[in-house]
Amino acid sequence: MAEHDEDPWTERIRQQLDNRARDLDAATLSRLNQSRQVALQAAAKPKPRPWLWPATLASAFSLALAVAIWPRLLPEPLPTPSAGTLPEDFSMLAGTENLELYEELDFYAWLDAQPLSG
Amino acid sequence: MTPTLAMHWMDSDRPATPRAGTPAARNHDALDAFLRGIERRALRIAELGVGHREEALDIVQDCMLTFVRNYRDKPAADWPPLFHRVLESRVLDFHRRHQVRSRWFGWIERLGGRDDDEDSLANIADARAPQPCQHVSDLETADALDIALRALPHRQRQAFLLRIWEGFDVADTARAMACSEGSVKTHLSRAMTALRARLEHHHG
Repeated sequence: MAEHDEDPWTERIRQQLDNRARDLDAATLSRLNQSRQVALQAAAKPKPRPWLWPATLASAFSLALAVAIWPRLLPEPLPTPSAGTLPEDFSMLAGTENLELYEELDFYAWLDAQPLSG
Repeated sequence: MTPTLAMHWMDSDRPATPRAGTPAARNHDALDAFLRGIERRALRIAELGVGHREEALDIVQDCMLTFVRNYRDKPAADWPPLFHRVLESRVLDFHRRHQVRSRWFGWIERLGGRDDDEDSLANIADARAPQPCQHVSDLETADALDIALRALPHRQRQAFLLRIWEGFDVADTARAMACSEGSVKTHLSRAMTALRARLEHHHG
């Protein structure tokens, strides 16, 4: 810049440019003032955070995925006998033939251990 | 309207300014001072770039908004080159849009399909616009300077205005123009040569 500062020609040019900027009409100055006020109002508002949108979307997606998958991750509930079959089961367990089976369990185990030979 | 509602309406209509003494208020005041100091020269630079006052005003408004939204938290020393970077970008956008519009709609006008509602006064040539055969000595010195600056290629004009008028050093000019420091020197040298040749009758 120093070489231009010392140049009277550039100094005259600069003076002309300054005069033009200084002598702007009132309507133009008013528009500039309005533009500045609009910009300053925008400055007073909180700055938008561009990273917030992806983070929000990722959180929402994770939540939706968890809701969709959670029931599948739970263990299957054990089947419970229906109330209608309980008396039948009880009578079957209490039958005398079944008791004989339980008494001869040792015999059936020996029989099972024997090799199959004719 | 109840008094409470009226007060609320008045509050919502009031410009949002931060509380005095806070860092936000200091930033607001610094921004205000910066924009106030640069706005006239920015308008003139935009006007020389696009050739129309109204277009230049729109460009400066857009530039101020973009600058404040994106760079208000940067150090104040960086504001001038950043502001001019945005301004330069907006002026180039204007020329790109103008070029595309001419490419797509120029043939309609050539075929005579011009809108009948168009203001015929708008078609009258601007006496201050640079004409190939117009001699600068016919006009006042300031007008001659405007014409000579507008006749420069865009990059040369930017280099000249930022270095000579804004007082930027080569590095800041290169930042504002998004080019190398060597390019700035070349553009400036060519601009000075062209301007000296055109304005020799007016500025000696």
